[in-house]
Amino acid sequence: MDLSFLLAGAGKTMTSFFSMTYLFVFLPVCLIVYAITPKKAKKYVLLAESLLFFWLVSGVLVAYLLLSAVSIMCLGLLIGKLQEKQRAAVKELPKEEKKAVKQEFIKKQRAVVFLGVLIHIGLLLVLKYSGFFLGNINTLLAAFNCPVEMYVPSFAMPIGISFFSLQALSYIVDVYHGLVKPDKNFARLLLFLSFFPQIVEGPICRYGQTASQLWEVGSIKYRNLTFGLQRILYGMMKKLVIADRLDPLVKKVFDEPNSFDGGVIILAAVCYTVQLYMDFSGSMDAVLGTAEIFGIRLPENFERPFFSRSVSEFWKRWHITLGAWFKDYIFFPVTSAKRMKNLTSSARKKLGNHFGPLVAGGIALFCVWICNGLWHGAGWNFIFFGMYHFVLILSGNIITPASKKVLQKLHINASGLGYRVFQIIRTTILVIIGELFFRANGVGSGMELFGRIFTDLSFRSFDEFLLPRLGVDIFDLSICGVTLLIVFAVSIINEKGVCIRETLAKRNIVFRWCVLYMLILFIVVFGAYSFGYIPVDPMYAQF
Amino acid sequence: MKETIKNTFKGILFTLILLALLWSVSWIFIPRNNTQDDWKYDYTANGFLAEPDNSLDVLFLGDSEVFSSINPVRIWDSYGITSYCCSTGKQRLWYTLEYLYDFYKNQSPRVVVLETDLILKYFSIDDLILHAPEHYLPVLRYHDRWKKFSFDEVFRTPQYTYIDDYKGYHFYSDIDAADEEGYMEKTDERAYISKMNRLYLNAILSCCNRNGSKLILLSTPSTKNWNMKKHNRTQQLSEELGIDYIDMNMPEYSVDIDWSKDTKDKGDHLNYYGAVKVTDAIGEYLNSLGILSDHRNEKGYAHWKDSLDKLKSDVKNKLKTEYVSAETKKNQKDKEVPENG
Amino acid sequence: MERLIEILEDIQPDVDYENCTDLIDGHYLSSLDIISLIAELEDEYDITVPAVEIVPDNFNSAEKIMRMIERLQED
Repeated sequence: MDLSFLLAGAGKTMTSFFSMTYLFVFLPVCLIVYAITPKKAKKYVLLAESLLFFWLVSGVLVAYLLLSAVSIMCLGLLIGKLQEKQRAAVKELPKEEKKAVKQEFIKKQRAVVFLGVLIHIGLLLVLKYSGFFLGNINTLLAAFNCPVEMYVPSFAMPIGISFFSLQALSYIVDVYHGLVKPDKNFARLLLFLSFFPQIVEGPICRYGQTASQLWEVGSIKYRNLTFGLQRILYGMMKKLVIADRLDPLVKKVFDEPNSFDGGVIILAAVCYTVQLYMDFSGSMDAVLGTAEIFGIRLPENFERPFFSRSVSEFWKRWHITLGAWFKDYIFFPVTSAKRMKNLTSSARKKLGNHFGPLVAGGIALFCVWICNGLWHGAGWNFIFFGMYHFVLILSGNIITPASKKVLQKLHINASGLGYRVFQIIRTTILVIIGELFFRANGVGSGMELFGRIFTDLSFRSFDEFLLPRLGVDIFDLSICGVTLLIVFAVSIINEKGVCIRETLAKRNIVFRWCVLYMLILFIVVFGAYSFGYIPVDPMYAQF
Repeated sequence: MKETIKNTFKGILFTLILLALLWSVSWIFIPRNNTQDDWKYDYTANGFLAEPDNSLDVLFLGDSEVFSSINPVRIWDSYGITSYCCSTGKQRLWYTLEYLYDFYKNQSPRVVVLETDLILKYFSIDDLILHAPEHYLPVLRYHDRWKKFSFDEVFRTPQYTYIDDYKGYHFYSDIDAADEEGYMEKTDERAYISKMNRLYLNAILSCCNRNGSKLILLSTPSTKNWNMKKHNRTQQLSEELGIDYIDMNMPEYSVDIDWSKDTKDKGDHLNYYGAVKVTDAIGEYLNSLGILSDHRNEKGYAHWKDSLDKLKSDVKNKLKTEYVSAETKKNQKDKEVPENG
Repeated sequence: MERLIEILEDIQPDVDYENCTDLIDGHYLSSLDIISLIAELEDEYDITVPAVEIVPDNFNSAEKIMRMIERLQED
């Protein structure tokens, strides 16, 4: 019998939570099996389903996940042991000696944390980045006419490794910091890493946020079921009606950076940002909705980012869990390091209270954004993307005092609506430029596209042949516009703190069902699927 | 418990109403005609809808290999046999079965020829789940026709008026030579066929049997899409199912494709010249079955003559040569042989 | 407390520090603001703020920041 399918994984299309197999086979079967299992066994069913899912999309590469779980369990317990010993050792000692002994133990714990980092980052470096680095070294060697060429390996990467590695690392650091107790229960730890809705595209959860929730899952409640399904539907609308419909246009322009004038490039850049937002936040709606059905509350990954007033605020509202991870595990540890603190105090004396801390902050920010860029992929355009944001955010902070003075002199009310709208539009434009480089096939191509906006800003290609060339028609763009208005309206209502699903739940059943039927029919009719459309992979699954 | 039963009931009711809704809105989206404008996708393959009832005796099913290499008009010219190519780009077996079902609604073909390229081609469960319900809820397939929505149409029943001159065949004049290296290299290995493909193949066969049609497997020549592994698997399948199999990639069928001239895209598809050779070979085979009648002088087949005229003028305009019928070609060849010998 | 609010105003004006309880969650203070704030606090109150203390819960309001300072002073 041919068993090779065991290695390959049988459901690659399931990386998309809007794929037919996932929505109409995997998820329903999972829910039914889960629902009929006795309460005590539910968590194990959830774990089994999660591992099955991972195997279906990644095949034998599920081994990496297990390896990661085993390593963090051992390292976590080791840190716990060291902490216990430390406590016992310092108990009887006088105050002066306490510190030295404590330091000794902390050193050991740090070594264990370092080992954890080495395993996870090392694995990522080998699997995800070795090809990129070695390829660049080869280019460099060739530039110096060096006859040596290094072998550039390429590895099969398990889906979601960029996501679960970060979760694993956060667990070890949290144990080290004493924020969570080391877990002796392997199954719970594994479920924390592998919970199937979040494994492909996040959100990146902390042990303290989800582990105990996942381990205490109960029966499916009707309210959770309806709320979860409604959220999945809403995400489906974003992904199928808007994101997938814009795909041909975006693809065309970014693949042929030389063939369009500035006007079209602006259009494509805007469309790409819209596509990315709708794709990723739509997928997140599906993820959080699915978790909600099980009664699990995952952290939100989006908080209406396009209402942000600055780029730095934008990154607190877009892919929140990634930004928070970098902030907690890179930014603050770097700035809190002793040398950095010394740097800060000496810089403050020389540069003043505002600029002084920016020296250390800038270095930390640089680390964050180089990591952020590389996390998205091994490529110069991603590094460029990171550096672009680093410069924007740092310079935003540097000019704060100056811009405040200017505003005061011009008598502009910084909290007035007009200025707010100006800030929001400015932020959006800056973000769109960043995403243009993010999407471009390489930095050169990105520069070409960006340059054309200025050197070739005309709308001469806006004729009746433009849209057919771009693979869309006026109806596509119109329906995207209409749907975006719906999303915009919902965002404004959410921004005011109103939960639409709860408001809806209070209405009578006829009204409720009519709204849902309208939403479903809207997706069925206006969705970009089936004939004439190629299913688009979720954009963040590849990172 | 009572709550659970109530909620389950609610869920079922919700789903039933939803299905009813989808079914009823489907009516709005069904194409009202089979013209390119109405159908948008694969309209040439749907041209059979406008052909007179029970006028087509042979059905060719397959992906782009079929519409590029089989010319029903030429078969008509040679033998008076009426046939149609329900072939669409990247066709998969689930779609093939749909065409077969649709075809039997108004036609009763004696022979069904299934091109083998798609038999071994993988299709995902996703495709299956997406497309299987389309048969019952057409809105899922034709939803994109909201772009053409008009109020008059809603109250009109479909009427098919588009007759495809070439009966599903696509005329290609380009020449782009193929690299023959490794083509049909000998091996005993067999290509993989998935369980699902096998199920669909069985379904197609039993549908043909039910309707009294003879099913034939045909591999058209292609350096890119065909190889010995696939041949071996198909050979084995045909023996298992007890159906005829013609592989025109094999030398015994003497199709004599000239890979420097007869392909339009480096051996992926044939052009007009290649199609002539394949068509003559399959025409001869169909004729030799002895179950297909010659309709050339019968009433109600006049539009085939128009098609032939169109083919002749297209050959003249696009290729700058005269149309050579199968008979003339044969006579020429017969003459050549003694000269050379 | 008054001194703390002065420090905060110095770093980021236009915020009502007396009443605001979501300085971090409401995106009033950026990461770089926090760095400035910590440097200032460490100087002013002679404490060290380790990375593990830098969580929204410790910085969401002036009162919470004060409580953290008091706790760290006792250590």
